[in-house]
Amino acid sequence: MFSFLSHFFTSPDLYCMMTAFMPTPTASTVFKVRLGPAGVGLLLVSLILTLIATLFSLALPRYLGQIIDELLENGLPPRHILTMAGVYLGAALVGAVFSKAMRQVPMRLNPRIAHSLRTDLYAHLLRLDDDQVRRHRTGDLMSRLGSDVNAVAEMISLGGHSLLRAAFTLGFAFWIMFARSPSLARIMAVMLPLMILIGYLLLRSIRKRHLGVQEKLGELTTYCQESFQGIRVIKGMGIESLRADAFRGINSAFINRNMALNRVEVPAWPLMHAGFILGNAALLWIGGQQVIRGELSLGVLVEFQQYLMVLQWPTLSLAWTMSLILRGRASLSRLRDVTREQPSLADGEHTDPDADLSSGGIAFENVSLTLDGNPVLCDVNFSTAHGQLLGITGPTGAGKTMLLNLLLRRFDPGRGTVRISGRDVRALPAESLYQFIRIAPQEPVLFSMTLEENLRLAKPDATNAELNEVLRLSALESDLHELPDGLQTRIGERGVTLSGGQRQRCAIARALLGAPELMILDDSLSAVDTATEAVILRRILPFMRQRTGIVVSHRHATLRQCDQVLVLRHGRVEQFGAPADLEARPGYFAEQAERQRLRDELEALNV
Amino acid sequence: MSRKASQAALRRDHGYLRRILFYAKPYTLLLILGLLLLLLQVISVNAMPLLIKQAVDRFLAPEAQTLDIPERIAGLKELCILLAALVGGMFIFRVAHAYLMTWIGQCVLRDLRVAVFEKVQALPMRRFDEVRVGRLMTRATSDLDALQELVRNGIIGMLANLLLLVGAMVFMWILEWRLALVTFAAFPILAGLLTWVNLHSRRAQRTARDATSSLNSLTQETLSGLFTLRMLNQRGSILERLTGLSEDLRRARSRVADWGTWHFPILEGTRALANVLILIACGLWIPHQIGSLVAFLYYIRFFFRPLEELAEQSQQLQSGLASAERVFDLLDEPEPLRDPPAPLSLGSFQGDIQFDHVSFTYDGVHPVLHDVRFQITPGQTVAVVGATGAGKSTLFNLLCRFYDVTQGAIRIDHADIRNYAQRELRRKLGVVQQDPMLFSGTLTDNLTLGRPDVSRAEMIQAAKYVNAHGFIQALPNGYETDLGEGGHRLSTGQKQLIALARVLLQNPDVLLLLDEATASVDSETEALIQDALAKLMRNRTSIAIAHRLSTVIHADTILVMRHGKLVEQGTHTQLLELDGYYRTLVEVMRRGETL
Repeated sequence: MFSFLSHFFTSPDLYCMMTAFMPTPTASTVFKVRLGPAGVGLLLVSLILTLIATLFSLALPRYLGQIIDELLENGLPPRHILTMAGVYLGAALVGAVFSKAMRQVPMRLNPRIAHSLRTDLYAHLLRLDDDQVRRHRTGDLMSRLGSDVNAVAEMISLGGHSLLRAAFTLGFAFWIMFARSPSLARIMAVMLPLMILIGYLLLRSIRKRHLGVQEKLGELTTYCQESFQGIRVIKGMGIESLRADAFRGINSAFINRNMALNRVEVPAWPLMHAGFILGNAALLWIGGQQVIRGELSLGVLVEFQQYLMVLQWPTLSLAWTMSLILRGRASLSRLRDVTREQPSLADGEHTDPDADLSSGGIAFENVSLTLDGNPVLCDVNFSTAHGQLLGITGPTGAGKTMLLNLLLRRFDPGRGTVRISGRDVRALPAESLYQFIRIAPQEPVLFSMTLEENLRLAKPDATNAELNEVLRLSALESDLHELPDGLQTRIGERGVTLSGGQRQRCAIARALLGAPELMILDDSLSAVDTATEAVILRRILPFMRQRTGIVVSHRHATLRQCDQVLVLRHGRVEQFGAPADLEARPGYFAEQAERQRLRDELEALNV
Repeated sequence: MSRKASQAALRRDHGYLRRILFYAKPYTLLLILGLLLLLLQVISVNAMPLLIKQAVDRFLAPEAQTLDIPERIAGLKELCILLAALVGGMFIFRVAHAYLMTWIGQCVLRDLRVAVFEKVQALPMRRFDEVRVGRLMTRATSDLDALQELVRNGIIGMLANLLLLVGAMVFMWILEWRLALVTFAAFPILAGLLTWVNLHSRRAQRTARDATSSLNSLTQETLSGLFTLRMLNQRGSILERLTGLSEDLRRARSRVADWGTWHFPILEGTRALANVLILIACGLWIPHQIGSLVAFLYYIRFFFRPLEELAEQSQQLQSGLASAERVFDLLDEPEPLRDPPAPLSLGSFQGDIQFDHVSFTYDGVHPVLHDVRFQITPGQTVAVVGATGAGKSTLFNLLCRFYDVTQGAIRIDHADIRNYAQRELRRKLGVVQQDPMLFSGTLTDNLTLGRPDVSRAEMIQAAKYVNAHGFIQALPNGYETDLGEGGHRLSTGQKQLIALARVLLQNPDVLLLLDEATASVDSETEALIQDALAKLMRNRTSIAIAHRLSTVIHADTILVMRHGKLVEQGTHTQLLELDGYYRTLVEVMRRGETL
């Protein structure tokens, strides 16, 4: 039994069972829900507890009816009354404990399943190309990892349990009721399925309208955000009242959506409630006649009224379960959309696992790249040898970062070949490629961890000496004293916000810690003041020269220290050569050099 | 001491509730109607057990056997019909009440939301840096949402439940006061247990919320930093972290489940206790009350619900009040830049602008402008030159009255600008920015900015005039193209052209130009922009912060700024003859431009 259940819940069969309700396509890419023995144990316990709690909840009305019938026969000794009352209370309390336990199990199973789904999704997402992830937009993926995962988990745990419980309760209840009074049981048999159907239809409609409200709420938020950010334009044009009027308009639309929701949501529960009282009235009418004719005892009538109350909740929850399954099904297919995707840049059959990268040079051979129909790079040709420092410059949007992206295999070129140490980067295993290259980007990503943890991402087993060395090279040492906990300072949302320059220098330190053979600075000192920049360059350029280095920069002083400079414009190589040669020739590089000199002059004037 | 403090807090909370009620004032009549419906609901709900008691005592109980069977059945039928009618009535009252109150609640919230929005628009400019915009957004979204919950559950819901509870108690008392007393004995037990469970439940929920937000922020970073992680070969270790946080969340949610699942069993247990107390009372104390017994079993089933909801709502009230405090604090913020009570009219605008010994500091410490003096006569073209940080754009900020001068005065048409209404003043001044902000909506929305007085023909004419018509027509839906958030579908140059059309439609008398050479605009669009600018400046007073020599040379007056001071002013020729700071600046600009 145990192993059967274990197999059942660790195989996609569960989904096949779930998909039995749902005409969703292929169940081929579903993931496994790993409950583990503890989870399967929970399920078994749940089964037993539900059975016991159900029996208690149905036994109590029957006993109550019996007590009432006995009370009607006058002259019961007080002791007998107290005993009956005591038994009733005792049974009710024990029943309540079982009922608590019965509810707890699926509620605990739910986060367990969600956790399992979530970790599987995380593992999958981390395998994908970042282009695939970006296409999904972060917000969209967040909602899949959040609400969709929860919806699927609820469908399996709570939905499953609720079905089980409703089946037990209704099954037993009708069995007992038909045995006690078939005519009254028939009233219930007509009424309860009707209530389930009405409840389901209401919930479905509520859900749909709720989405409409959410959509308008999003509009409200966007409108506020834009207005607050664009306050200069609004104030400048004196259109505050027009904006407020438009805001009122969106608010009215929001209220309309809300009231559309309320038109269904507000009467939903009163309608169900009224339905149950009408059921009571029907019991009173039919059962009452039988009591008057002496065919039924008053106690049995009260007993049925109590059944109706006990069955109220399982009935409603069945309606709820149906809407839960509806929602879970939609969420499941959204999760499948993600799991179906396969990374294209992953290591494959062409990967050469023993590639030797030690000789270090870089070569671009007739490289072209087109993204979304726009040519980004055109026939890029150049090479640089090990031990050289290459500078790259050019106006914004010239394709500098894209060129680096090809080297880093963020994309593959449409035409041509990118080579490192003479090997096509497409044939290099990702792990050794990224061991070989480290980049400090202009806008680095730091994670909500401590500063040290952020740096150690580059090399988890780095020694303290190595750590201190990169802190010195990136001139972060002095900043440490200003941070509340030094290296242990938490960065990010709930920690310290670092300045743009500090973030860039962290990225440099992180890149250096990996001791790469090819080190890239992608405009990574743009937010650092000139004096500090000079210090950092003085410290790290020798390090970069010993290996292979690439510096993307607009600053002339930096470019002049390179062995070779590549000028990129409109995706093409415009100039390539030693900086001294380029300066002497008319062209972009010389123009920029002159501009820089003038800017410096102007700044000097200002002092 | 602490008692005093808590009394003060209580008074303050009452203050917020009163202020929320103030927003409900326009709906007073409807509120009274709502109260009436609530009373009818209370009566109809509580009358039902009475009917059941009647049915049992008069027709079903053994004592009723004095009547013959058909008579009893006829009586039962009557009562059942009455009961059904009462159910119908209850349903109608209940739904009408809830619907009406929800509607009023929504309207109150709308009025509050609009009040917050208008207040934010009226705040001084310095409240709008990046961090503070985030905080303002929190006020306008999550705090108002919490306030909505406060109104819905805290105020409306609590009132309804209180009345339902009191109504039930009154009816029970009238029905049979001894059984009522016995039932009330179960109330404090239920209230105590629920409060205790809710307390722990809330604590567990808070932990779960924290766990969720930790996991979410790492997830967000992971998704946006996926490539960084890949390059660092750290996808495995981040997966471990995510799994760890996900496990934390699982544990926290389990705690929530542990406490949350107490709720129902407690309710069931207390109901059973009340049932037992009634049974004992009927058996030992007040026999022959079988109808009351059945009616009370019925009451017990439904009338613990208001109490249960009250326990929860009283706690929601607390958290809602915290948000109310923040919202009302925002609404109470002073507006330092006030319009005068009787503003002067700018109707016959001349465009004579005078800076009279103007000094200014943003932070009260560092002076940005120092004793700036100049005069601009109508129709003049003025260029302001100077290095970065010389205080050029501050001149614009002061002229638009985004800030008030620290010393001195700015006069337009010989009257201090503080004597004009701000909006009217700003409508006369057209600001042309280099990185224009577009709003989400269609192109038409962005051009007319929702002004009803702009006709479509005027809009198209303006777009043609500033060379924007061409590219707009090429867009899939022309003027009705939806730009999406921030107008991200357009290039910077196109955005600038739209901003120029927008300024043209504003028809300002003075043009303020922030004229920075932009790198990201291609030369073709740049030419279109320059042409449009020249057209806009025709027949208007214009002041340009100039970075191009061409703009400077053609100006009627040049203001040379240095370190917050106006160091030189005059025409190009005059200033060159002066052979001072301007001359050096021009040389630098000239060399820059010839490149």
